[in-house]
Amino acid sequence: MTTEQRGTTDDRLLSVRDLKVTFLSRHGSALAVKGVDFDLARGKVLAIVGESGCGKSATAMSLMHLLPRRSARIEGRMLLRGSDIGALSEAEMNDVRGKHMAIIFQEPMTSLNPLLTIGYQLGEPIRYHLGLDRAATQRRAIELIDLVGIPAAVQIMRSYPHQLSGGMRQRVMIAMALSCDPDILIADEPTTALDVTIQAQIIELLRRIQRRTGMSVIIITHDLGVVSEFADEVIVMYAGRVVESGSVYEVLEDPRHPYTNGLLASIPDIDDEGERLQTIPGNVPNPRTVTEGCWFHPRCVRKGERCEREVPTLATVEAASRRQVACFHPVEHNELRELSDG
Amino acid sequence: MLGYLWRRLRYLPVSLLLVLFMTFSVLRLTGNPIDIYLDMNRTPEQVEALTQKLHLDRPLVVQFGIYLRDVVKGDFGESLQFGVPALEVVLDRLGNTLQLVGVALGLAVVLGIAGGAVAALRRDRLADVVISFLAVLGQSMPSFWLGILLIQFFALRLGWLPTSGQGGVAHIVLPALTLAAYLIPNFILITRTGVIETFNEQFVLTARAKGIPSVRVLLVHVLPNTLNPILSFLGLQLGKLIGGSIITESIFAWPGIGRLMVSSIFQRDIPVVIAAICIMCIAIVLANLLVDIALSMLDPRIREA
Repeated sequence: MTTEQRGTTDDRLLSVRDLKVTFLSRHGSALAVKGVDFDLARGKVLAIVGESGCGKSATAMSLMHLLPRRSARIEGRMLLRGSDIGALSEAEMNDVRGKHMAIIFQEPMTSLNPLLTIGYQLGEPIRYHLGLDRAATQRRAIELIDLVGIPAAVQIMRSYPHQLSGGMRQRVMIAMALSCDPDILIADEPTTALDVTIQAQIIELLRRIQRRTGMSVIIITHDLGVVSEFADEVIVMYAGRVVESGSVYEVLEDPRHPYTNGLLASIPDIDDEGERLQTIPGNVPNPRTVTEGCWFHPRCVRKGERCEREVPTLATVEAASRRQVACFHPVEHNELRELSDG
Repeated sequence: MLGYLWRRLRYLPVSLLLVLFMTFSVLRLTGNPIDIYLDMNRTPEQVEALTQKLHLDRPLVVQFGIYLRDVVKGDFGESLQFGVPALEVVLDRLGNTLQLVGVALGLAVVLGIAGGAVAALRRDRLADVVISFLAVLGQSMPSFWLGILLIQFFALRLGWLPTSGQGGVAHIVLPALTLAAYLIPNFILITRTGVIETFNEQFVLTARAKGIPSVRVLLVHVLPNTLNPILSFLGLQLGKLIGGSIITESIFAWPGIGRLMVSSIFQRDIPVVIAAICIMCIAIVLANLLVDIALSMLDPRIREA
């Protein structure tokens, strides 16, 4: 664990150290996030990638303190500009949420209150965090609707959520998240529930706004296309742990962890006509079960004897870059991305 | 909104016509009106005069038509006890009943929703267990029994409140509480379930993610979304509430329509009974309309449907 460098030229906006999320239930507890570290630099886009159930959404939700308190325990440090927001109370957190950190969710159809107008819901954080009066709030809201590319802003303000399409609602969610110029925008699978054509529009919109405002973005996705288009850095999660991290170029061009390699290999290639689609055999392990050694080893084609006994830690693989891999038998440089036929 | 109101209002005359048809049928099915209006020592002349007056010599359909015409004019006949028009007697007491029902409804809404919300927020803790227990207990307690218990405790033992009758604010507390007891347990249980369910909705997460205070999240985003089942339940229970007012008014000697109806039944004052039933039915139909209007004001999706 690193010591905090305060007062130095530090472009780290958010540092997460040893983040653990445990879900408690009547049937026992499940460790969904098992000690995650990452840094988010000012103005950068960080992608968190992984299969469903790997803990990426739990990571995002815990940053916002949005996991239910009665059933989720969060440990570790989350340093926003050097101060730990992990220890904040619900009331203190309200000054961070929506103002410094904002989030958009996967499911735009149910993310808006059906009884209130778009204008009201959009105006809520503006009135609350910026303390603007009615007229100024209205002006700001219309400005935001224009920004996210919805036509007829005044009319939209008076509309109710059910009158808008999914893509429109996601744009409204984005507008809402942007309303107080947050330093960090967390996008939790923002395009998963949308039509493919709309997906591209939403990612393009996010990219354009990110460039214009210079905010930092954490995008959670399992779409590697989105990652390559939008992100600067990427961390790959598997079963609640980071297995590989680095710049998008490095990780996507030259994956070192067998899991990342497998993810990339399972993207269908349009040139390989008629070839069987590649998959990673097996499933993400249930967080309630305990696996000895590396959690990926049951699905890994490169596993050795050591993988069944010891958990590999995230370590720097090349002195020149910041990229890290948690694997005893990393994929070699420029080795063909291939999986066994088994 | 206007279109919605119009579609709702279209059914109003039909409902009222059905009510009048039922009261007319009951009136004719309970025996020969002559036997009710005139005693054993009647003369044939009296019988003849009354038959003429009540149009008993005409076909039933015509009688119904005449009855309808009279009702529309507000003429339910003369009260046998008081010798004044029956409608007048009933309308005299209407204010008292509306006052009682209004206060009871206010109490039920405030206590029921607050109780349910507290139970939901403190789910599985002591407050929830106590409130939920009281709600189930209240649901199983007949109101006449509750009324008597309240009188015994607050009026007789503690002497804080009057036992019966009408007067100042103190007089309305016990009867209103007794009447509200019809609704409070269900309001609590419906609100509790509603709040717990609504808290799991994605839009509540959105509201929390905006960083607005939790009280605001509850009042602006959660509670309004739980009102629909509460209002719908209220609409269904209005009849029960009116029925409850008959019992409650009798226990507490509250001079409203319910008590008037009971005493008129014992006095065989049929015109007053019929007028009271009609007024109550009209009140229920109108109150249901109000519930529908409230629902549509609450939810834009209902307005457009």
